[in-house]
Amino acid sequence: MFSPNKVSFAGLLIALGIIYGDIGTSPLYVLNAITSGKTITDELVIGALSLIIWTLTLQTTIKYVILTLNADNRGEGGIFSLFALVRRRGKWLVAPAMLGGAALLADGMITPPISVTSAVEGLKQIPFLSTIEQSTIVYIVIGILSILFFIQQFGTAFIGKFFGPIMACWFTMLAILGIVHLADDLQILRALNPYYGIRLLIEYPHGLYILGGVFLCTTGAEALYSDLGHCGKWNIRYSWIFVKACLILNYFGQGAWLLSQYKGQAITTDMINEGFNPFYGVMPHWFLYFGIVIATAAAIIASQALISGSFTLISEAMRLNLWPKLRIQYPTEARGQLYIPTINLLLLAGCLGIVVYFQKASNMEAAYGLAITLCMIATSILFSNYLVLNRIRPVFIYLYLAIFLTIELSFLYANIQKFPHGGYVALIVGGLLFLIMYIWFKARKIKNRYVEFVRLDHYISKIQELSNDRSVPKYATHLVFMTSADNPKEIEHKIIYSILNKKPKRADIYWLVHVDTMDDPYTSEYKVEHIIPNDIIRIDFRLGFRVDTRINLMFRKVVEDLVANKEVNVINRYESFASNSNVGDFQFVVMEKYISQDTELPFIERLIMKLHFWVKDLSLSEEKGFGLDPANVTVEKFPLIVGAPARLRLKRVED
Amino acid sequence: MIDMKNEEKTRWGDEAPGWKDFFLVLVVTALLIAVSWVAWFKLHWFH
Repeated sequence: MFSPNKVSFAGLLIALGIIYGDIGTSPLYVLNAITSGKTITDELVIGALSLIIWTLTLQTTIKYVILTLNADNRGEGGIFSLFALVRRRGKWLVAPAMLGGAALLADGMITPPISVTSAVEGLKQIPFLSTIEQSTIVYIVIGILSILFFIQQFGTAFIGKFFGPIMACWFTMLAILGIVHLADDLQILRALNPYYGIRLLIEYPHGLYILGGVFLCTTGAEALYSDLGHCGKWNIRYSWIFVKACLILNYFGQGAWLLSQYKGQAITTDMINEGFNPFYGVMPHWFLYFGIVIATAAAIIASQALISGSFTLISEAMRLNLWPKLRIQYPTEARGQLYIPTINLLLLAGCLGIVVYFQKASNMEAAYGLAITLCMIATSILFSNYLVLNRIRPVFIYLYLAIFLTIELSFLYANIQKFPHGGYVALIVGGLLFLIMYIWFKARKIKNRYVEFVRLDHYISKIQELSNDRSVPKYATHLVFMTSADNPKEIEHKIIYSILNKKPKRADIYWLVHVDTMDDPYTSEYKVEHIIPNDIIRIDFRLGFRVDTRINLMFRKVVEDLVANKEVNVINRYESFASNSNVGDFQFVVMEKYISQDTELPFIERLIMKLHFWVKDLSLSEEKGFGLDPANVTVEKFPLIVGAPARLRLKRVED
Repeated sequence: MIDMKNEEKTRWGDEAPGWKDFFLVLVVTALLIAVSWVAWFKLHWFH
């Protein structure tokens, strides 16, 4: 059997191709972001490199690679998997999960534009193209991103297998370019000592703000955890040794080159606009053609990882009832290959909007990282709860929180200065995404609060009477109701009302189908309870949050199993068909709630419900959300009546 | 109670690169580097 934890050549390459795109393309812009507007000195360059090395060590290696990767949910990682693992510890944990998910998506929207723009801006390094207009670069970036988003619908399995080998070449190139320039100024090796980093933060004017640029070297760390299920813990850990070595060597090379070429000079905005970039600076001129091509390829691979990661994140959020239901497609048979057209379109619009709005990579650097810091803080909070669940000694948990919250809050403080420089874009987008999650989550709570459940056994005899009452026209041979009652002895009052009162629905067999979302990602089970054999049957589906809800197919499979086991007779019972053994028709009934004019809710809850129904109109219908065939579905609308309506003053008058 | 079998654990499917893919990328990379060298030193493109 396949084991993602087994270290293999393919596994290591896949980790390189999927996980390290974002973090691996950081050398394209990190030192530009740090040195912009500053004079190149030993103190700045060695201090900044020291901060980069120790950020990669503390934040990426220790927090994510060593610690957080242990918090796998049956092999799956990511903020929602972690939430599913720990949510039984407290209802409030949904808040950091939603915050982290929204922030990850929002800042992730900047990853493709910043990586691709930085790579394409390398064209300015070629003498012949040094005067290339920024608008031309913007057009090229828009073209690349548009093609990338367009091909998502076809799946990326074919080109996906080249991602790992290309990234292996990319990282090797980073290391070689770094080694070649190490000798430019060997004192750069002093950066291994954290003292220089700390001194820079303390002594350099506004030194703490340098962390805003330094943080860009670790923005991709969350991806390590999100893609855990794809590559396996040990493939990620072993490949990280190679990746980290290559990254540090390259940063060393860039630092040594800066000191040897620009010591004492100020890096002005004009220089950056004209193409100054230490990443391309360490490349010999003849190598630039290839360097730009592979940098663009690496940026595309990083963008692809972000897009796939967003689809996975949203699909998990949907199953955890934190996001409106959207249509999911499966372009290939490979597990995890999914495509959500609406999200693809939103991401494309967001990425193109960012490219057009910011134009230059240097402008994007000034905006990037603020939201992802919030995601990392959310992960720290959730992970500390995971440690509590695993009975880790409190002293270690407090130590973990003290160290990493200090680091992350320092980054947050430094990144807040990005707010007026464009950081507000990611925060606004993240805020909107969080609002959608909150509305969806809260509206469900409000709806559940007002769902009235009744004891099923009180109505069994009436349902049986109806089933045998031939004076009532038969509604369907098999009538299937989707129920939200967790307790099999209960049922929503509205279902009873629908069967017995609204318009009596006579059927031979009544099926009650309940879907439970499990914390285990890939659970796919069902349980059958014959409440009245061959008359009322309840099926409970237990589906993990990574399993697609296709009730139509699953229900058919259950019925086939039951028929094979002779537990149910699905042949229709029409007298004229007595000689034929036709399978009876199945009709699904789905209940939909709406706010009636009589509904009385507090202002905030009413507003949430209004927004919820507005968002719901834009999302997938209830029946499609369950994966039902619309041809066999009846949707019944029920008012969400809350409390007694205000006393109506109405008086009868006589003529 | 009847349980469906759990699905197979995560697999890489078509995305899994083999040695052939790895060497193909290496060869293409080497070719591109060679083209880059020739373009600069011999053909003097984009100087």
